[in-house]
Amino acid sequence: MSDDRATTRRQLLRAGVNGGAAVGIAALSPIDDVLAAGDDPVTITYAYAREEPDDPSSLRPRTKTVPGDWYRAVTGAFRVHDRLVDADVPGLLGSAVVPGSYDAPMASIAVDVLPDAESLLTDGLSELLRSVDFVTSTVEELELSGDGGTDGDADGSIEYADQLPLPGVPGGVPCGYAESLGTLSPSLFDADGRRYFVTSNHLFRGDGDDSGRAEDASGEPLLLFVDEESEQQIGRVDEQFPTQDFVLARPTDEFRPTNGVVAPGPSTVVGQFTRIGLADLKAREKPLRKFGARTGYTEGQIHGVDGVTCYAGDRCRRGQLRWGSEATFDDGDSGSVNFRPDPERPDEWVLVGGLNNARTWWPGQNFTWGTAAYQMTAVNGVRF
Amino acid sequence: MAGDDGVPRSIARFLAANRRRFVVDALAIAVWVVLLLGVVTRLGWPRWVYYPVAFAGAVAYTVAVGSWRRPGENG
Repeated sequence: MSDDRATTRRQLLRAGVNGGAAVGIAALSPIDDVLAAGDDPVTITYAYAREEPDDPSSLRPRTKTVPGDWYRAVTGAFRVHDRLVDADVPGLLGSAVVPGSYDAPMASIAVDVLPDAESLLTDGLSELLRSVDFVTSTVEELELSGDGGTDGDADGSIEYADQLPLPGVPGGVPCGYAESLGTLSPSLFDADGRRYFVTSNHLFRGDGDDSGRAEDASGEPLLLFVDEESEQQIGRVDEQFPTQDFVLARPTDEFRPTNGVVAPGPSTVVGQFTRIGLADLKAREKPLRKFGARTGYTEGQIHGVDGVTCYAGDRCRRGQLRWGSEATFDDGDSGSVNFRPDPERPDEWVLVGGLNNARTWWPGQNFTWGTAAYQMTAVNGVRF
Repeated sequence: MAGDDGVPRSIARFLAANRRRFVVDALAIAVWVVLLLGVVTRLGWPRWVYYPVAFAGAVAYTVAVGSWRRPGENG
C-alpha cells in the first residue's frame, strides 16, 4: 500500500519534472521569432495610378500593407515559377502562380502538361517540386489552334456602344480589321505620354494562316464598328507586339483614344495593378470585370498570376493573368481589358489588370487569359 | 533501510539508479517540443496553444513510461 503511494508520488514527480522540462525547452525555442516574422506586415505597391486621370506625369505608386507570411509565400512561388519557366520543360503547356489567402498563405503553382510530360516534370524538377506545392493538370485533346480560335466569324450578336463620347473612343467598343471582330482596349500611354488605340494583335492575322505568325499589319486601318450599318476608321496600326498580343494604332481622322471603358459603374481608367497587386486581389477573392464586344459585361475571380501560356503552339507568352471562365470571354472579346474599381475612388475610377486575349477551349480547364498590364509596361514600355 | 546513509547519499543513489531514464526523458521531450514547434508554425496555430500542448505531451509520455525507480528496484 505505502509502496503504491510512493510509486504514484514518484510518477507525479517525474511527470512534473518532464512537463517543466518541456515548457522550458519550448520557451527557449524560436517560436516567437517564427510567429512574429509571420505577423509582420509588409508594404506592397499594388498599383500605379494617375492622380489626374488624363495626365501621365501624375503617375504615383499606390501602396498598402499585407501579412508578411502571405507576402513571403507568394514571392517565393514567383521565384520558383521563374526557375520552372526558365527550365523550359518540354510538354509544359502553361503554368501560373496561385497565391494563397491571408488566412492560408501557402501559395502553389498550377502546371498544365501534355499527358506524356507529367513524369518528365516530376522527375526532372524534383528539387523545384519540393519547395512549393504544385497542382498538375493533364491537358488532353488539345488541338493547337490559334489564340482561342479565330475572331473572324462575325456570327452572333455584337455589343455596340449605346452612346459614344465622340471624338473620344473608350475601351470596350467593337473594333476590327477587315473581317475580324475584336474589342478596343482603353488607351495606352507610351513613355512620352502619347496615347494609342489598342486591340489584340491576332485580329490582324491573315486568313488561312495557321502558323500563328502575325502578318505585318503596319499602316493597316483599325475600324470602329459603330452599329450594324456603319463603321469608321479610327486609326492605323503603328506597332505590333505578337508575343504580348496587342497592337498600338495611331489615331487618324477626328477620333481620339480615351482612358475610359464602356461598362456599368466606374469607367475612368487611372492606372493598372502590379503583379503583387493582382496576387493581393486573388488572396482577397476580389473579382475582376470586363466589357467585351461579344459577351458584354462579365465578372470573374482570378485563378492564377504571372502565368505562362504555350497553348497556342507558336510561342510561349509570359506575364499572363488567368481569371474568369470560358463564359467570361468569346471570339470578338479579344482586346478587352479586365479591371476593378479603384479602392481610392471606387465610384468613378478603375484600375486595369491586363488584356483578355483567349480562353480555354479544351475539357478540364475553364478560364480566360491575357497579358497582364505590368508585363506590357515591363516589356513594351506602355501603360494603361 | 537506507536510513543510515544520510540524505545526500540517498539522492545520489536515486539519481544513479534512474540515470538512463533521465537521459531518455530529456531526449524524448526535446524531440517532442521540436516536432510540436514545426506543427504549430506550419499550421499557423496561435502561440498560446504551444506551451500547454508541450506540457501535456510530456505528462502523457510520463504516464506511458511509468515512474522513476527506487535504488534496487527492478525495471
